[in-house]
Amino acid sequence: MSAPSVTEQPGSAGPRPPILEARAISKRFAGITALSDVDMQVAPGELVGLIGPNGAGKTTFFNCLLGMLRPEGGTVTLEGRDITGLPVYKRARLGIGRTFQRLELFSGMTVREHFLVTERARRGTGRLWKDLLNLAKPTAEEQDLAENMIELTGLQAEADKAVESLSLGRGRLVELGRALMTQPKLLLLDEPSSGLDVRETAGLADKLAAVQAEREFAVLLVEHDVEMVSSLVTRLYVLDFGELIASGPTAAVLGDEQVRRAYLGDM
Amino acid sequence: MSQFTTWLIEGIPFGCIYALIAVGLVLTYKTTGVFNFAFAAQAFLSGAVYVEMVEVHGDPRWIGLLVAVLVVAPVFGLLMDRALFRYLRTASWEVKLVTVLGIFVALPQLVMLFISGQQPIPVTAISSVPRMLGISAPGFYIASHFVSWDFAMTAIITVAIVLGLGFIFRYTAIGLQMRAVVESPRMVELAGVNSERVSAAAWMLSSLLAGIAGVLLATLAETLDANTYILLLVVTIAAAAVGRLQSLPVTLLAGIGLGVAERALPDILHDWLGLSVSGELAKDVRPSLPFLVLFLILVLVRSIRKRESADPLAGVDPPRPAMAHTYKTPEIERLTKFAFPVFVAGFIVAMLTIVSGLWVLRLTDGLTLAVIFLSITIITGFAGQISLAQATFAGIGGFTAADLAVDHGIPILLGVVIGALVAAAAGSLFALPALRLGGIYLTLATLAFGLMVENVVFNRPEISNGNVGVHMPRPSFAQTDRTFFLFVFGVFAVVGFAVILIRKGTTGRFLTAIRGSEAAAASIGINATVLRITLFAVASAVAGIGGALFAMVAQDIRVGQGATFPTIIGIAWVVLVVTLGSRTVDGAVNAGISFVVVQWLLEDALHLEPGIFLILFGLGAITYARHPEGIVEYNTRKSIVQMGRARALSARAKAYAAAQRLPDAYTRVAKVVVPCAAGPGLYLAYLLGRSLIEDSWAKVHTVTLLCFIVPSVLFLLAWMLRSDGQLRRLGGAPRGPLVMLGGAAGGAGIGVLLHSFGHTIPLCGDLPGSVLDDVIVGLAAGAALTMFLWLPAQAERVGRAKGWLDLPLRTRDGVVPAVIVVIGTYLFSRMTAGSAHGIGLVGQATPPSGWPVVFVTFALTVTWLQAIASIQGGINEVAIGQEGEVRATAAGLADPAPAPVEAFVPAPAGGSE
Repeated sequence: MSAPSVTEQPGSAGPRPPILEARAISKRFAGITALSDVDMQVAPGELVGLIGPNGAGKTTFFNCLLGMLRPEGGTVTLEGRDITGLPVYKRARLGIGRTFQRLELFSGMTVREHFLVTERARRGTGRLWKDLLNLAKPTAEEQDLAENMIELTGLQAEADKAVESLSLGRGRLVELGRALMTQPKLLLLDEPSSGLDVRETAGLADKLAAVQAEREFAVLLVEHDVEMVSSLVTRLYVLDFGELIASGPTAAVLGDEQVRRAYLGDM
Repeated sequence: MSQFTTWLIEGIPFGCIYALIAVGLVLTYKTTGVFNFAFAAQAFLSGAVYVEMVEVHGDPRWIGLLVAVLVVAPVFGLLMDRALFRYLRTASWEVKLVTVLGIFVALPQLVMLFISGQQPIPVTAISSVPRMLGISAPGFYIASHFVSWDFAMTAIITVAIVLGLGFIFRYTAIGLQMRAVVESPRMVELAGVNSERVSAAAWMLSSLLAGIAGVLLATLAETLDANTYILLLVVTIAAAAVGRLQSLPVTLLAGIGLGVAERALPDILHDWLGLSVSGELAKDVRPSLPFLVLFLILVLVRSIRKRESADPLAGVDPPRPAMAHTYKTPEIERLTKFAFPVFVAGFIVAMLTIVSGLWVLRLTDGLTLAVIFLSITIITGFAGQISLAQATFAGIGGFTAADLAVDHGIPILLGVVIGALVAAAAGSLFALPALRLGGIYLTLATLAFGLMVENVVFNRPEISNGNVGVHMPRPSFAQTDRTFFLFVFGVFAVVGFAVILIRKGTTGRFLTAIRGSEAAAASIGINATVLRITLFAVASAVAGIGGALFAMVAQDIRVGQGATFPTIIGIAWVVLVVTLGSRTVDGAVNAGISFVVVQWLLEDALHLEPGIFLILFGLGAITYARHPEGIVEYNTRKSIVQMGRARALSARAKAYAAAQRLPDAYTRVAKVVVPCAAGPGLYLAYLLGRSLIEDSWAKVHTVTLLCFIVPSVLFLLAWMLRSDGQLRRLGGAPRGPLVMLGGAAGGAGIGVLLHSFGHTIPLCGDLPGSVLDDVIVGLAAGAALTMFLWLPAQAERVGRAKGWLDLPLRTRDGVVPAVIVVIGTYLFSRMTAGSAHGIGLVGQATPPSGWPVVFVTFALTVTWLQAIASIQGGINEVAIGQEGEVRATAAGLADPAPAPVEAFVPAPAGGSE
């Protein structure tokens, strides 16, 4: 079952080089193979999904892409540049934005401060000597960008509230906005619907689709919610027991026999 | 016989002692999740009890052993669990660490105070444990090497303990439960295990081990000395680290190996490197070997960098509170903007004019400490790490500046700058490898680094000039104490301002982000490691500057006995700063000043035993668990919120009064506070006025004092009785007057008891006071104390009955005024006895040094009045109801709802420090 099935390969993009390319990623934990030779390509501006049952290795793969884990074998390239050995923060600076499955917000900060601090990190203009000369206040431009993001995410009402007081759904939006503030070329979303109800999930998906259409970054979505996946992504990868068992256009993959057996169950 | 055998035979006995303590550390860590710095203090407790019983009181050895090991040790372990760690099971590593560091600082002093006294007790052969078993020979020979039975016994017991513990962990249910409770007590409870009982058992077990180690150690040394224990603990951390704080057998072997290596080191240095064994360097290197080992292990062994396992249920913890200044309303903001500069200007003018020379020097001393403490603000408050090496970095700055000035004639100011740079360089060199560690391991590495530098570097005669010390000149323009104060104040202002700017700037915001979520901070491109190294370097430079200034106060730097920068004092510093507040500049100032003032107050003014202030500071760390933001910060926030609450309440009362008659229980706060304040306030004014007219410090005269304060005390008691009645009518518990009577009776009883011990309170001003005097004071103090605890409890009961979530008053709000009653009564008794004896507080003091007493009394009184005001405020809120509570009146009107209470939560930042 190692051969990728269904239709042929990466997308419709044709001549455009992929923004993200993972080749033969392997990862073992104390003798257990979590990933074996997983390949993946994401074209610029493309929406790609990654699904699989619990324990399939989705999160491990995700962490290998982000640099939270070092794979034993394989390479990760971003826009043709090998980033396999880079630490997390450097990958972020190169244009990988992400959200977290369990909310990871900066407690003690307001929504606006989240966006402002991200913009400052993206610019890389923060210096200790500037702090000491009191030159570190957010510039008008940074304020504008943060304001725009508040509007884009629809968080006007909560903009100056501490994030601890927000609901999980609103918190996810803050994470999305924070990831978008890094102006990512590739956005990795880790189960954004987990813990959300149907309405909140739909709202999040709509917002994401709208922003993506406007900014044209690529998206890799790891998700359980098949409805959300199928409404958003054009292409799908399926992992099972650390191996890629299918990839191709969403509808075709979801209709595939093997995928149904492994993941969706016989219906 | 080969050299190696010699090393083994002579090294193993010492190694076994190391191993015993190291195993104890690992055991505590495994079963309680606490890296127990207090282990040595616990061992000292049992050792002291044993030696005191056997050597001083002549009790039989086995009784001493029984009491010290099987009674005192487990009971103390149980106490630690019940009183402290029970509440900290789900707390972060930081909170647990600060708490044990507090005990580490306080417990040896407590033991010396109550058991062993200040001087080390000599330990004779009487205490020997082998003799108890009938072994009378001092020792035996292995291949011509003498091995004493004391050491052999230690080795046997150590191995037996490791085997026994191994059995417990491998084969018993309680062993498994202990390990599980450390991972997540909440998860374990979900599995149906009573995690409280398990962790109590764990504490008792580890304390028992401390007891055994303590008694054995006591019999091995020639004297019983707390410092021996503390140093041994630090040494054995290396062995515990080799066992990764997890493996008991590895720790055992590591401890033994350490003992052997320590024995072998001089020979190796001599044979391989050609260094003379008696040479200065070899002498200094040997004791620092364990620290070197510890440091290298921590930095080089990768697998030790296991992150602290995060509790899967940690998400249920409430978020930490915002900084106090974010709660300020615009009015309070304006008030501080005005009051703060006035206060600072007043302080400077006073320091330059009326404050006595002695106190100028003392307060300057406190300010230089505050500069050093700002480095703790940066590392702990901003970067969230705990460094125990700040005294060392201060020392690096101080020694560099002094040596450059004295030996090379470099201007001292330039020397201070170079000293700061050297400290920063040392700090970043240390931080480069060490900061990857994070958490408890970083703390251990800083301790190892500090002791290593103190032993090897500071002790070099080229640097510290042996026992003579190095002269530390002051800048030429700041030779007198007052100009020197101005200079220190200037430096402090600059550094303090820089720290505020760092917090408000990009660096501070990035650090907030990292504290919030390190993973998310990395995901937006923040490099936490570089940021932390930068901060560590900045903090080291700040400590270096502070260290140079600190040395300028006494104008010399010493090592050895009375050292200027001992690492151990550095631990007390950290505990004090985090207890008072590590996030703000105020916290550092308060810590610096109180370090000096409290020490003076306890030792010079109240003539208490030395070491009491360490006990106070150490035990103060216990509050850190409840207020990690620090007591200063907590009180600031509390009083700001309370001011807001009071304003909202009075607005609501006004609207209420417009619609209907205010309930009887509603009393304007001023009507209560002013009469209470009148007595002490007028007396203070009288005392000051008389002193000014006479141009000498007026003595406290008991009868005059009573004339002023008795009406206030009577008013207070009447108010308490009345308030209790009103709360009872609102739904509080009955029998308030009985409680008051009981408190009064208890107080009177204590008065009689104290009188029989010779503590008299001569109310008529002549000696000896009658027992009736003590009874009267006891009656009043007892009644007031109980009612301060009772009234908030009543108000809480009424609030809960109404279903309120945001209670205006809780039982614990009564603790502060009750404690002040105790302190006040004590001060009063000292004053009256003093005015009769002529040795009391103010009675004997000559003018200027009486100021601090007045200031302390004043501060206590103000805090006390604040507490009274907040109690009356709470009662008022209970009386007229909370915001949004609809109450139909006779006319069918709903309660009008003005100014919401919630309006006082975060206003945009920007307040001054």
